[in-house]
Amino acid sequence: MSLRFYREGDSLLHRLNPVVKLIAFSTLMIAPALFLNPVVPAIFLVLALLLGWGLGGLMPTKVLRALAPFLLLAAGLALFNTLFYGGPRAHLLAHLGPFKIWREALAVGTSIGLRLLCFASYSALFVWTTMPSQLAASLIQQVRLPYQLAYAILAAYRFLPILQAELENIRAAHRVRGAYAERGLLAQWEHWRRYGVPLLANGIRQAERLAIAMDARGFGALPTRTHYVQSRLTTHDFLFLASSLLTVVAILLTLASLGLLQGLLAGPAESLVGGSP
Amino acid sequence: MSEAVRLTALSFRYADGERWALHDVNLTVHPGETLLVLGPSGSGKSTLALCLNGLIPHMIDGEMQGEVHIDGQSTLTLHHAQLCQKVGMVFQDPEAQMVMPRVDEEIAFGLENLAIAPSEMPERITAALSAVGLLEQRQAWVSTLSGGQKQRLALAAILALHPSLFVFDEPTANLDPAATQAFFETVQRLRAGLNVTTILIEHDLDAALPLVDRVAALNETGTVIAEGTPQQVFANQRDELTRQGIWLPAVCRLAQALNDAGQPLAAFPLSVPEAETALRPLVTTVLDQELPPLPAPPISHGETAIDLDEVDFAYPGGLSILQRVDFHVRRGSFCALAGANGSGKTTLARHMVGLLRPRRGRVRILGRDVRHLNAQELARQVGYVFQNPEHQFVSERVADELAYSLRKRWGEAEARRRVEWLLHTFDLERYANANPFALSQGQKRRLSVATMVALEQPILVLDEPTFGQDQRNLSSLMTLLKALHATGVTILLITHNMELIAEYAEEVAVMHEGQIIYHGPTRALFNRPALLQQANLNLPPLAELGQRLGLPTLITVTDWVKWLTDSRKSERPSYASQPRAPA
Repeated sequence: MSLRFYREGDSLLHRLNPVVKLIAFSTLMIAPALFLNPVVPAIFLVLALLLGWGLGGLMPTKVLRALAPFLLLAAGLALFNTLFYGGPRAHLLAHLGPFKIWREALAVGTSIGLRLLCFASYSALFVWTTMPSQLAASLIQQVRLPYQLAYAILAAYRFLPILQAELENIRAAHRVRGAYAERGLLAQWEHWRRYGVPLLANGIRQAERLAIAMDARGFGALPTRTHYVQSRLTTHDFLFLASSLLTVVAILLTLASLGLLQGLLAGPAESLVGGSP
Repeated sequence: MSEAVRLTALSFRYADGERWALHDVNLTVHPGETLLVLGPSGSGKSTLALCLNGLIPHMIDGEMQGEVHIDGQSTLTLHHAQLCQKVGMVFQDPEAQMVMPRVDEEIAFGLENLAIAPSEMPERITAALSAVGLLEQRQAWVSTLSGGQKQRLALAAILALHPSLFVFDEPTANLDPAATQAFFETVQRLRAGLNVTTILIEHDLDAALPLVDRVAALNETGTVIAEGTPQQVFANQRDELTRQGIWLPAVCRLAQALNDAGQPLAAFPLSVPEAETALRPLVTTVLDQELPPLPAPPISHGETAIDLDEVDFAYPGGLSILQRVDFHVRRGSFCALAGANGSGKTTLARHMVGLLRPRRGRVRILGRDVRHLNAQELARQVGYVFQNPEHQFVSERVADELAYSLRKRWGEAEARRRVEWLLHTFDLERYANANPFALSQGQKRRLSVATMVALEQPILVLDEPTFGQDQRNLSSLMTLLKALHATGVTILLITHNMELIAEYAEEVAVMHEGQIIYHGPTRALFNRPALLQQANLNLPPLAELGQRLGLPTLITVTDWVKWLTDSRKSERPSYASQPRAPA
């Protein structure tokens, strides 16, 4: 069991400059979050699946399956926000036991759930198609990030699976000792604190060892270093970035012209759910 | 030509240290030589390594006295970049010295740091990888390599910098016997071609010794107590080494024991072939002395403590780890479980405490199916000691750590009484109020065993408990286990330390790719060389000696001494008249 995110491939998404990909995907991810309206995130979610399929060679069904935990979480969020919606309401759709389902509530709930999925799918596309070392290389070579910082990010990434394995071991060890989580907030806190001490102790020790090993191989010895992995910007990168930004603008303008962006940043678009009152 | 390395009156104290980690160390190493550095834990061996590549004093805070010269230049005047290029280090933990995700990038990392031109890199990477036999893995992910491959990759990574001095800090501590051997063979091959100087810190003397020209031993206060050729150190200063808790190579221990038994060898041996030569005259004169017989396989229908019947296991969506494992451990036996890293030993053992559930098959503890036992009932039957003792600690005081398990079973007063008793038995009385995390490696290990026998569990499973333990701690751990075994506790010891198995285990099971490929008496296993090789295991040195001399059932020092002294008692006239070999 390991948290190895990158999936081998040679698609256009794989070959894009990681920083360009990061900017483009961030835009695609953040744009729908600005509208409390379920249509916008739904469109961008479909776009993510198409993007992964067309340019990344990732089957939409596979992407959705990999995102299953997020699907569940998104459904939960949507339901919770629908049931406990506290904003202005006008249109009652149905009764669900003690709950009243308002049209406005349903729109907000669905929107929140879909936004989460949007976030998850663009993030997944990014990590699946980006080699961490290439991300570090382009952060250093294009963004001019100090290389110490870029390598710290890389090291953190590499430590994730190690820490995960460590946590699993500690949990197993505590189970053998009969140290179970008891009920109650205090007991829960105590339980996690017990995990935390060995995890932190070992984490710090490992990090120190890694730092020494890096120093021993000359990390930071010279003011500049050379680059084995060359990170470049190609016309592909510019084209991709430009078309991503254009797509965002085009989608939003189309929606606006169709009158679907009313209540921008604030309320649900009335015409979306349930038709006329 | 001057010395490759010269340490002059070198002392070092860490910024947060109360005492000197190294004290007045004087050593010289000549070009092309290999120096083996020995010492108990806390003797400053790793500190010495860090002084050699200049991380002390350049990067690590503390007070340094004296000087270190590499190729005639003081580390104080050399730049960090020069030192990293000259001195290549391989550390103990494979996980904590890999930086990059892929094999070729890992080697490039050092080259980039020293600003080597990118055009030069592919060639250097190829050369380094082929030197350690990893060329095929060039594009592989580091995380998919085995521990042994990772250590060879670490070696390739420093090789690419063309160093003149190798410093190895227990590079094989995490490796199984076959990977250990592969590592040293690689070093041996490299050394022959490169004329590189090597300083090796290592506890596995028998694997390392063929490489070694000279030996230096440090004591607990970081002072050199013995130095010279292996012959000088192990033969002439062995009493001092033993006093410091430093283990001698197996054949040296045998020679010493024969000496003590009044049967001195003509020449003090350092290797199995040398021991063979020294023993052959003795052996040929007494060859009709009866050998201990090969034991019969243990009776399988006796009362069993642990039963696994046709157990299959795979992680969800993962490869199959256990395949139809049948494994039965008799009550009261001392059984070892050996096998290569990744062969499924830990997975198997975790089924015995209910941490893992079989996908198919049945696990019984003292006849009861673990599915019908709740966690608490199971915990009272089986103690399980993890490789890293820290993982098991749940409180901030040693005494609380012990009381934690006891209070659930006995009342406060009884628990307190038992805590006192456990502290005494496990030699932890002075640390009752200490934080478990602040203990030494040996104390942590003893505490973790104490917590697992506190409930008087009749079965104790230990998962590589010897990890990170120096010889003295190892001996005290094994003495404890032997004492527990004598009180009737069934012990299952997971280890690939073959000497330990020879010395302590009555029976041994060998795992290979998720299956038990051998389960039987320890002595009989050592007569199956092909099987050992298949499982990445090796013969312990004294068993190898026995094979070479046609005495395959002699596997420990005790076996050898007993056999040779018994033969003396039944002295024949021909033996009495035999002239002693000249000393």
